[in-house]
Amino acid sequence: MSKVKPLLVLLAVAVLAGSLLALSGCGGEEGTTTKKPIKIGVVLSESGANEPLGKPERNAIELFVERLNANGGIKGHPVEVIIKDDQSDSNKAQQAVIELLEQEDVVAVIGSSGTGPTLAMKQETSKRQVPQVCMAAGANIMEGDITWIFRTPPTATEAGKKALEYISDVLKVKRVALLYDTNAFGTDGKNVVEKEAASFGLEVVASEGYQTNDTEETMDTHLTNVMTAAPEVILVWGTNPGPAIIAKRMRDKGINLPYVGSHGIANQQFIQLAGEAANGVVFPAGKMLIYEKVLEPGSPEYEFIKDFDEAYREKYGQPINTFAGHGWDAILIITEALKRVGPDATPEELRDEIERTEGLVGTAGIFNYSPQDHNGLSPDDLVMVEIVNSQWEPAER
Amino acid sequence: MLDFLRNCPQYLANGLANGCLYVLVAMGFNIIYNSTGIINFAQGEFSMFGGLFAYALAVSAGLPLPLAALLAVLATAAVGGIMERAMIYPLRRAGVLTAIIATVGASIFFKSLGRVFWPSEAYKVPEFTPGTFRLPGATVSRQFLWVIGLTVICVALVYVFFSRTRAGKAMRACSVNRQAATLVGINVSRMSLYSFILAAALGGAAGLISAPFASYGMGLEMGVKGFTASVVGGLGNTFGAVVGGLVLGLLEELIPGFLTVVLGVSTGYKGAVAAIILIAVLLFRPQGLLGRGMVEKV
Repeated sequence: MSKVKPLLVLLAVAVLAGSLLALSGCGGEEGTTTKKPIKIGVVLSESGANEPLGKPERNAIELFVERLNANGGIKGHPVEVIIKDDQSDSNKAQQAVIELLEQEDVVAVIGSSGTGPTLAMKQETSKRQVPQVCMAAGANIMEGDITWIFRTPPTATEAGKKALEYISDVLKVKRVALLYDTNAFGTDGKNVVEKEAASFGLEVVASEGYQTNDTEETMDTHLTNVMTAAPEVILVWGTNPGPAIIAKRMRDKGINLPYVGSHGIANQQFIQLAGEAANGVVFPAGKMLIYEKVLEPGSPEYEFIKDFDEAYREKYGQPINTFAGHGWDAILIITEALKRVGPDATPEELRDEIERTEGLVGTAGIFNYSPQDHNGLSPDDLVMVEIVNSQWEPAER
Repeated sequence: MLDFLRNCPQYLANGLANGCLYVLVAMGFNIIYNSTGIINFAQGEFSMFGGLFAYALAVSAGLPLPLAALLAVLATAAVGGIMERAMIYPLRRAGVLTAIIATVGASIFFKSLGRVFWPSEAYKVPEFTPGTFRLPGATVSRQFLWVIGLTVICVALVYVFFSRTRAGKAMRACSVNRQAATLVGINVSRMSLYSFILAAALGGAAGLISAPFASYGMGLEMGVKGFTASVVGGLGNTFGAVVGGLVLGLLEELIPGFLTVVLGVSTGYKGAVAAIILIAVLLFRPQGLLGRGMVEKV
């Protein structure tokens, strides 16, 4: 007996210890911290030319994840984002995404802010088969193999259709003169407008490219050129300051045609640069820009944007902007898909689930992805905005 | 064709205004080239400083516009002077090519500096006198008169400087033969300093009147156009810049206008016009429209 006793004691200790371990394991089931975090890689442009895009995107993504984890994460698993800066450089973006995919075991990546870095990342995510949600709007991102890439901002396609619809249905004119910036943004718009105009019953009677930094006088020559085609509306597709110079010269020369712009001027800077001449300019923009004026309080979109607006202001002391919205939407789309498919999803399962995203309310509109459409938005997610007394107002319909 | 002719007064007015800017920048290129043999690739960035300093002084600091404009030109001239002392002077024994490469570096540095302090897409410098007036067949802004007038004044001042002042005459001597100029007691390195200050002031003036929109990115285009104008007029020929600038400015509006309105080819790539003119001049008349050939230098 005396020989058995130590063995029994040992056994008892082992059982006790085991049950203690099991207990502590049970305790862990209820908390949030001991579960394995879900890693999501983020590459964006916090410095370089796209800094004004990357900074608010990062702010939004960090705020979103902070709130998500405070509410228990995804079925108890916290979400961890690993953010890298590509300095607005395609090579650095590619390097960053390779690091994320090979060293960090991420289930999805977000990025990047600009079209060039996004394309560089697309190469790697397609090769390694990890879903990517980008915040850049270049048309060529969705050329070729789109299996692994999704995007959040509205593109020239949605904005162009919206603007053409407005010209045809509200202005009720036919002859459009197009002035476009010869940069990537303007050329995207030009292609959409020239391709889609006929389907809205419109005729592009003149189409002229300009350079972003053309002088007032050169812009004047472009205007003089397109005016000889006797247009009924001037459609300007570009980013500041070109569209502002054109607005000003139109006013100077007494050209009283309606001016329709692109979503590239949906910022305060256009109003500052064009001054008085900004009044009367109409352009397509996401509803977020004037959500208090175009959305019904209580509607899901209104409440979603309001919640984002308030949280962002509280944390950063700044109003929300389009780019913060793109970041917010990108992380939303991934985490919502993760909630549906479960925290243990492989990248393949997650990708398939993102593609099944339907009716998801975001800041840029309601996202509906399908195997054919990885853009997710439609022209209805945009509204036409008119500048009245240097303020954004819904364009009267 | 009729449409084109009807538009012509407008093209000419617009071309003249742009041409004036090119004249100022091109004169800057020529002045530096003459006294040092350097092609200053940072010349366009002087224009950027002119515009952005004017914005900072007139809008951010709230100074009266004429004072802000004057200070902006002086500040840009100072940038030119500092650049010469910090970058070109230490390289004076290293050869012209090294110094030219250094100006490329200066251009990149200036642009980055502009981006750090003025990161937005563009800044609106107030116009000297807002409003427009009508000419037969053309509508031009009142700023147009300022552009023409200030260019005439600048060209006249440069002329007086070179023909009436000791420093100006000394700089001309340097351009003919630097070694001989040294032998007669001219301080060549000081002339180099003066030429950078003068070129920067002219570039700054161009950036200032070309406003109302200034941005950190505007230097490249101003530099390319100014360089083209100076080659067209004859590199090193200070007043050839006037002809080169005006020819370039006018052709840049007339050719795309003709292509668009008469032939219906809407390109709008006026940058291509400048490039084609530059290549044509280099191929067929490398000494420029007003140049007398390279023989003089030998």
